[in-house]
This record gives sequence, C-alpha cells and structure tokens, in this order.
Amino acid sequence: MNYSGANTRQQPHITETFVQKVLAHLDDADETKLNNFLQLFSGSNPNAVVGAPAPAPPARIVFNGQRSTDAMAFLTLWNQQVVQTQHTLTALDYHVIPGSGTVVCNATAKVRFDESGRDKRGQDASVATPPGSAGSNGNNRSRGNNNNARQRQSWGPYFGISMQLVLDERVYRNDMHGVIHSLTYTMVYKPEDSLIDL
Amino acid sequence: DAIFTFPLKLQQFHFDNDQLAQTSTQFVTNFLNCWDSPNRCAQLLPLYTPQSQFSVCADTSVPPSTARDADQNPAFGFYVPHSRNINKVSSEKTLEQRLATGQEQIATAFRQLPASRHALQQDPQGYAMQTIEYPQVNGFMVVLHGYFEETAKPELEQQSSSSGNKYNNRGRRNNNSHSNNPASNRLSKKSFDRTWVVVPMNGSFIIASDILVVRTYTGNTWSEPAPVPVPTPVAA
Repeated sequence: MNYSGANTRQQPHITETFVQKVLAHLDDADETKLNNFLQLFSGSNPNAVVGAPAPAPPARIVFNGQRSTDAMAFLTLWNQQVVQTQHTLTALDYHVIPGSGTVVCNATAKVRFDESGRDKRGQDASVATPPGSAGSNGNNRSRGNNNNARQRQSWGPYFGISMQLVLDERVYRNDMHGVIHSLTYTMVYKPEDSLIDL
Repeated sequence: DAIFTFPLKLQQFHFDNDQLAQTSTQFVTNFLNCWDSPNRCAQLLPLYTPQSQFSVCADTSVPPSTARDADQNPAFGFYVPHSRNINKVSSEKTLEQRLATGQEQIATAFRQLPASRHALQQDPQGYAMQTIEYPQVNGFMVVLHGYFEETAKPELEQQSSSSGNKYNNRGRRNNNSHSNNPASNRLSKKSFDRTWVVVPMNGSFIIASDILVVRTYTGNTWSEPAPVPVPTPVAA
C-alpha cells in the first residue's frame, strides 16, 4: 500500500518518531515550549495574520472520553492542571488511508505521574495530602509534605494508555505544521496504589 | 490516601454527535457478533474492499501487579508472529507483510487469530468507546477498548519458524519464543483496543482501516470493581 508523495521506506520510522515527539511534548513541563506543541495541531496557528488563508478545521481532541474545545484549551489545561508525567511507548501501528491524505496511528503506552505533591512549576498545590497519609501504604516513595520530595520528582506506578492520532500525510514530507487532525487519549488501566484519581 | 483528581473526569463513552452514537454502537455490536461467530470471515469480509487494511499489534508489556486483575503471566504466542508493532519490529519487509490489504489477505489474517468471545451485551461496563467524525473519508473513526476471552486456537495455526516463512520474526527486538513456546499459546482473557475507520455507504458500511491492539488483560479504569461480598456471620 504505497502512498504517492510519501517515502514509504521511512514511514514506520517517521511515524514512531512523531508519536514519540507527541509523548515528549506531553511530558514537557516547560510552558515556553507550549507553542511548539500547539503548532502540530490542525487549525491552531498562534501566529496567524490578517488576510491569511482560512485555517484548517480545528483538531478534535478527546481526552479520557471528554472532548476539548480546542488544542489551546487542552494544552493549557494539561500544562497547568496536570502534574508532571513520564510516558513510555509500548506499541504502535499505523495505516495510511488511501485517497484521504491521512494516516491513522494507534499507540499504547504507559504513563506515570509525579506524586510528590508539586505541580509542574514546583508549587505545592496539586496533590492534597491529608495529615498522616505520607508513606501510609507501606511503600518507600516520597509523598506530599516530605521535604525530600520538594527536591525531585517522586514517580508513582504506571498507568496504561491508548492513544489514537489521525495525521496529515504531510508528516512524511517533513512538514509537521498542523498535521494532527485528531487525538484521542484514554487511560485504560490504573494501578491501585496510585494517588491519582481518574 | 491522598488524591490528585484529574481535571477531566474519565467518561466511558464519547460520540461527536447523537447520530454517530447510534450508528457506531450499531456497527460495533454487529461487528463483534460476527467476529465472535464461527464464520467470522464469511460475515465480515463484505465490509472490506480491495483497499481496506487490517493489522494486529501485540503490546506484550506486563502492567503493574497493582492494576486490578492484571494478568502477570500473559500469553501472546498467537499474536506475536503476526504483530505489526513498529515499536518492536523494524524490518520494513516484515511490516509490509504483516499489513493485510484487501479481502483475501484480511481473510487470512482473521483466520490466524484465535476465536473469541466478547461480552458487550452481558458486561457493557467492561467496554469504553469513542467515536469521532473523519471528514477526510466522509465517515467516522470508532475506538473500542475492552476485553475478550479466547475460546479456540486459530483456524490457521502458525507454522514452525522454518526458513522462508513469511511471518518469521526478523525484527530487531522481536523474540521467537512467543510463537514456539506452548505455554505462550494457551487460551486466556485479553484486553484490547480496536480502531476502525468506517465509511457509511448505501445503508451499510465500508471499513477502510481496522487496527487491533491486543494487550495483557487488566481491569479497566472506567468502571468500578465488583463489590466484595460481605461474609454472612455464622451464628454460634
């Protein structure tokens, strides 16, 4: 199944690299890089000028079964209201859909969260730790109001995620701008010793 | 325990609109009924065209033991020889061979997978679904997460890995032990994610793309675990 204009030999490598890039963006706590991530989504052009061609339809984003209004809203929420994450890709497959100019990617990954009690900016705000609960489940991970936890992340156990991306086939021509037409991200399993509640 | 609550509460279902909810639910229900039936191919192949694609992708990673009901000794022997997991298989030729295109190849791929039983009707809480519009094909994309029970070995069993076998694992990180070890060929319960790109046509459907990801079985995140029965006190 060859797609004209796309380098079929490089497709698996490019697909995997792109998906890894998306996961790395999700893990990036640096707010100043948010724009780099935003530019990957269809219809999101933060530098649009008056008179420019009509923007592409906005990307569809469905996170844990909830639709986000747009990429900017989702990324802002992710950056400001979700603690630091660490994703690891475990499986990936993709199909180039003939005649549509699009690619469907299906990825599974595992993700863990910083359960130290700090948000991405290091503020002690995201995890409310009731008095006396730190370390109460018998493991030795630093928690909440432990002073050591303020110095570094305290990764919790892994969650499982399933992620689907519909990409523009321009991604195979090294054009990353606005290539994400849709992103669905669903947490499919949850460890019971995590502090995160879905 | 201390809890960080996600800003977006997990929902079991998402449909872009009511029409898609009805259409995609009907599609998935009918599809899985046919998939689980003894004549899987005969019933489903009319939905695929010469350009339709199907592939299976095995995620053999083992979830943490603290995930509810997580299988800590999963068997993937029926899937790994056909798996198109590009995170594990780097050989371009192998990846190409493991992408089934058109009815004939898709029929073969279907027959290389174990017979199964989904529990969509009996246990609807065990499944989550997202359906979004896919304007580039004038259709929609359905993503279904859930589980199935393997009920019988594949109709076409993997031959031993002799030279020339097109499903030899030649990828950089692949491991033939999955296909040769009888223990890895036992029937068990699996979790899965399945993504269909569907084009409604003349009152029926065409499936442009069908990706099946098979994972180690675990309890899911969107339903509460069954309550533990409280033992009845026995009178002294």
